[in-house]
Amino acid sequence: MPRSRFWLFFFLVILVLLSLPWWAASFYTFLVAEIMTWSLFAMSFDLIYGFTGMLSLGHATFFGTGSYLFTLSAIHWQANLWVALLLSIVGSAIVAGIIGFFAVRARGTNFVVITIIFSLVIFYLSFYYKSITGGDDGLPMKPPDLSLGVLSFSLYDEPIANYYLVLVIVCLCFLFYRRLVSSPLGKIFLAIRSNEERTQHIGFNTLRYRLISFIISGAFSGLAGGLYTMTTHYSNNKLLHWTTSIDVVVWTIVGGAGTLMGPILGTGLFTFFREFISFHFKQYPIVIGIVLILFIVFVPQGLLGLVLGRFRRERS
Amino acid sequence: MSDWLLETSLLSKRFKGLLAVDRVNFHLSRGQLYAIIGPNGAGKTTFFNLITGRLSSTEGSIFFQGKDITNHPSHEISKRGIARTFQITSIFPDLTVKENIWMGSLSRKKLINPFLESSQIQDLRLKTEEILNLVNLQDKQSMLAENLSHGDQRLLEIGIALSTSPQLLLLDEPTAGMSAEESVRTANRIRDLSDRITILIIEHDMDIVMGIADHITVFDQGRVIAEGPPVAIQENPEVQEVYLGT
Repeated sequence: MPRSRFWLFFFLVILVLLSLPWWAASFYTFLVAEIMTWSLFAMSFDLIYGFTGMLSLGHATFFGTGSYLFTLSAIHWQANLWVALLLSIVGSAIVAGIIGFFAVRARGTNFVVITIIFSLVIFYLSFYYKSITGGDDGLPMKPPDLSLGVLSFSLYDEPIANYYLVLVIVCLCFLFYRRLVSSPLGKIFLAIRSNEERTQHIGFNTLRYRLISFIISGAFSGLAGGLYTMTTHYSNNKLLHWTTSIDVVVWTIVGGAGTLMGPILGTGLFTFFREFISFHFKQYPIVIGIVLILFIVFVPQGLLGLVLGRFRRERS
Repeated sequence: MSDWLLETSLLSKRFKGLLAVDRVNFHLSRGQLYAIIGPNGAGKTTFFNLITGRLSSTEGSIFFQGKDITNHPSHEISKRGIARTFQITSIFPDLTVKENIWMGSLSRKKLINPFLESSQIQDLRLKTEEILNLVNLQDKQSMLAENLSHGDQRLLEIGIALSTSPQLLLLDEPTAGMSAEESVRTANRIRDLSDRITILIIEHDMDIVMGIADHITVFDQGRVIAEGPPVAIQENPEVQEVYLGT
C-alpha cells in the first residue's frame, strides 16, 4: 500500500477508534479493547509465521505468561501498572528465549512439535501449581491504577481509561512492527522465510535471526497477555491452552499472514463472530474449522493478501 | 603460510558406504578461472558443499587464505569471502530482483541500525545498482524473482553471490537448463567476471569449459584424476578414458 494511502487509512481507523466510546455502547468499547489485545497477539504471531516462516502452535504460552505475570505482580507485589506490563514483556521474552533456543534449531514439523510440547508442559504446570495460577477457575485481579503525573485513573472503575490506554499501546506496537518489518532486520526475516539456505550462504546466521524473531514475538505476545488481563481483570489457564494457540493461527491465516494488518482484520472478524454466533450456535468451532480449511485451500494469501494482490495487479 | 587462496588437504566425505570425496588435495590461486569436470556422481557438488559448509567433512582440512575453515558454518564461510551458486537455482523467489541483490549487500554491512528503513541505506542502494548492471537485470529489478525466466534466475543467483563481495565465487553448473544462446551469453559473462574475481566452476558443457577455463581439475569417483590447462586435459589419456569415454 502506498505510504500516503496507508497514513490516511491509519488516521481514519484511529479516528473511529478514538470516538468509539462516545457513540457505542460500553459493551462494544469493552469488546473492541479485547479485540485490540488479541490483535497485538496476532501481529506478534505474524512476525514469526508470516514474516519469518516459523509456524508455532504454542504461542499461547507467551500470551498466558504475560497475563499471569501481570496478575501475579499486581496481586502479590502490588506492582504499579508500568512495572506489571514491563514484567509481562520481559518474563515472556525470557520464556521465549528458553523455548526458542531449542525450537529454532528444528525446522518444519519438528519446530511445530517442539512448540506444542513446550506449550503443553507449561499448560499442565499451570494445573499442577493451581495454588499459584488458580487453574481452571483463574485468578481475578484488580489492575493497578494508571498514573500520569498528577492525573490518576482507575482502570478497574473506568473502562474508558483502560480502552484508551490499550488503544495507545497497541497503536504504538503496530507502528513499531511496521517499522521493524521494513527495516534491514525485517528484510532478513523475510529472506529466511523465502529461502533459509540461501540466507545462510550469503552470510547471515539464520539461527540467531530466527531466535531474535521468536523472542520479539514472544515479548509482544506477553504484552498482549498483560493488556488482555488489564482489560478483563482475570487470568485463566485457558489462555495457555493449545486452543488459544490455534485461534491466533486461524486469525492470521484468514486475515492474511505476512501483512501485519491482515491478522488484525482476522482477529476482529473472528472475535465478533464468536461473540455473536456462539450464543446461538454452540458448535461454532466446527464452523471456524471449515472456514480455515476453505481459506487454506482457496485463499491461502488470506483476506488482506487477496485485496493487496488485486491492488498490485491493478497498478501493474 | 601458503600462498593459495583455497587449499584442501586429504579432504574426504563418506556417506555410509559411499566415499563421495576421497582424500582430495586441491588448491587454487587468485585471479584465475578454474573448472572442475567429471561424470555424474564424481563428487564435484559434494566437494563444493564441503568447501561452503553445507556438508561437514569426514576427514581432511580446508584452508581459505591460509585460515582453516574446515566444517565452519556456511554463514561464516560466506563472511570470509566465499560465495556460491547451486545446481538447482537458489534465490529468494518472493522478493523482487532488486531485494534479492540488496540482501547480499546487506550481509556485508557491519553495523546496521535495525530500525532504519531499508531504502534509506544509501551505500547498499549504489552497490545493488552496480550488481544489477553487472548481471544485466536492471530492467527487471522490480519483478518478483519467481517470475523471471530460468536463464535470468541463474544470472540473478550469480548476482546475489557477487553482492556479498566475495574473493572466491563457486558456480555449480551455471548454464544448466539454459538454451545454447543463453549458455554462451552466460559463459561470456563469467569470463568477464573472472577479471575481477577468482572463479571455480563446475560445468558439464565441455565447449564452455574448454573455452573459458584457465585450469581444469577432473574428478572421478571422488578422486582427482587429472589437473592442468585445458589443452593438457584434452590430451590426457586417463581423462579421455574415464570422462570422455574415448
